[in-house]
Amino acid sequence: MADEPTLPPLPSVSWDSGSQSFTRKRVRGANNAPPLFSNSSDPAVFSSDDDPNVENYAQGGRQRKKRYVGSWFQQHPASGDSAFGDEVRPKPTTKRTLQRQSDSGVWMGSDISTDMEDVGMEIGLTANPKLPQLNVSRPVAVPSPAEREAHRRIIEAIDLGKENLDLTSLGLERLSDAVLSSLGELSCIPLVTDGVPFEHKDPVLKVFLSGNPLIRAPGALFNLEFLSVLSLRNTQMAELPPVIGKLRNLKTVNVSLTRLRYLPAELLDLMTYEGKLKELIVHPNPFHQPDQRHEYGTLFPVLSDEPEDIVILHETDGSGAYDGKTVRAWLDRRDRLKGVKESPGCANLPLEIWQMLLAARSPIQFTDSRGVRVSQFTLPSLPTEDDVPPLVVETEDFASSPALPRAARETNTAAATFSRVPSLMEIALRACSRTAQREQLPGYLEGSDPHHLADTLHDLNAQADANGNMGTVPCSTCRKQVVKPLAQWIEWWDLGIVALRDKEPIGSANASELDKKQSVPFMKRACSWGCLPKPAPYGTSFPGTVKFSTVPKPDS
Amino acid sequence: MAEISKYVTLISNDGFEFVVLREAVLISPMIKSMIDSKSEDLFPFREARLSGRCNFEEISQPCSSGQVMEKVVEYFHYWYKNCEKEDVPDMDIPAELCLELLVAADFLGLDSKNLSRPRGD
Repeated sequence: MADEPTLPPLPSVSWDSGSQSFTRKRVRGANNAPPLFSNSSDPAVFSSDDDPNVENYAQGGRQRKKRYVGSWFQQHPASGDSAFGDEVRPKPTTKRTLQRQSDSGVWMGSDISTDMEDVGMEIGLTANPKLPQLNVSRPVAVPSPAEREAHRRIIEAIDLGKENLDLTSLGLERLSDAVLSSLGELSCIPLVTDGVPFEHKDPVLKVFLSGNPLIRAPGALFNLEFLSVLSLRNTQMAELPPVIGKLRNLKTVNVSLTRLRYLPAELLDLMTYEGKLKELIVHPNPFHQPDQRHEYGTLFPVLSDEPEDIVILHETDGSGAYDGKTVRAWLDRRDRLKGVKESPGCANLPLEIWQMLLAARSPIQFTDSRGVRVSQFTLPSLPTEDDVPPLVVETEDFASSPALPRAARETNTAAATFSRVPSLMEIALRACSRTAQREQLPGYLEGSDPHHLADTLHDLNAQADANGNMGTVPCSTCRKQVVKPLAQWIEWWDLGIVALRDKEPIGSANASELDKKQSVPFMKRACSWGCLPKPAPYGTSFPGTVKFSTVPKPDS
Repeated sequence: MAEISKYVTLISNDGFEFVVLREAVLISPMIKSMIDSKSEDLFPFREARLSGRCNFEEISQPCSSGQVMEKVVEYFHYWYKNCEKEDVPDMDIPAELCLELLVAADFLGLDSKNLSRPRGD
């Protein structure tokens, strides 16, 4: 490379007094070479030193570097100066007439004519945005490697139409909603065979999150309508959110080996006759224990005041077990069951149904509409340390009316009726929880407003984060959504699943499933004074679950 | 003292007057202390007690504007109408007023702990 390629001559610049700017005339190179710098979308000219062979440069009298034209995937040497003789030459382009499309609005480098003067063009664009707030880098939640792996598996499940999502033991500490919510798009790939009409099939989602150090259940989980199996076994969860009551298709829930102190009462609703939940694995967990529990004696009481309008699920005649007495399994129609058959006694067996008996109830913790406690009794707060042994919680007799806070006792006479009307503050908080700017609301309060209202709004946001982005929780009595429940209490229920089969007698074998040793605590709440728990007789079973009774022989 | 009127007039800071049933406004401990004859004879409220007019004109915050007070009065009657019903319909409040109503409810003491009082007192 004896002499470098010569640079093109500098453009001649002249001062134009008319436009107060430098003007210049572009002169086309003598050899009609494309301009070295072009600000247009003309075909790019590539120069390559990939092969620094001297032959690539030695050509004729004028030494030039080998040039390529064309798109990157289809490059050709620029002109006949190539050393290769047999290369495919680019097709000679048809002669272009330099003509401006008057309406194109696009200025091309080749559009310029020699007599056209371009007035001082500015090429450089500043890379920094002019708005100061754009320069501030926001903290971006970077997904952890475990989360990326989970995301990969979710995408794979969606692509293949797999209904089992195995995310066990990935080391997930959190799982963002954005990753998980795409699972709602999962749809099954239907089996298409000849002669079988196409049928839409709802997916039966199974999500296994066991073995991850999750602190809370991911909120998007509770929007997966078709979730049927949920395993949160061996996680660090301290609370199962009440929004789980939305998942009406759940069949199996496994929450053993977590830090749960109680379960949401909404799970009980999923376990009624209409519900699909048949398998609930909750032990071992550091559940709250009642200091005293009620023994309900026999599981097959002789009912003197058995209601008239009942649905008999199963009946054994008096021949076999139980001293010739008829044992009945029945449902109470007053529980407003929707899925029960109209005529009694025609339940479709075999049937698995939950039996639930109330074992104990804690006193009621009353709070005002801001969530400040007003009663003597306080429910134990959630544990912060890792290993706290199960706490023993005070109970009160559930067969009598709950104890009221002193202020309410004073103002109420015996004949007073409790109102179900929510407070104005509660109504305003519900409106706050529905707004799209829920998270910014504390900042919108004026300086003169009381400070405790900002705390209340922060509480609302924290509750929504823990509860799958629902700011409200349902009332256990009237099912209305409430932001700050007036009352909260724990009820311990003995749970057991009973298998009723045709022609098989109901015996103690069926009912022995009832786990008397370990009652399960459920957190209940009431939205208003009218929704407080009513006195419940001993042996009360949950509405919508099976009840047993014995009918004495007619002749006795 | 003259016979106590069945109605109470609430005046917002932009001059709107709302005539409300006395029984309905008594759920607010704040208003009750202003107009209830049983309460102590606090000086600024003596006039309110005698005339049955509650003046919120000095409170220049948006929470006592006529727009907000209209909703508060609606709530008083909503409570009065439904306090003995089993099935209570929802009261809807617009999202843009939710913070003002929150402040107003706090000021007037319209808290669930005060709603246990039966009607008529």
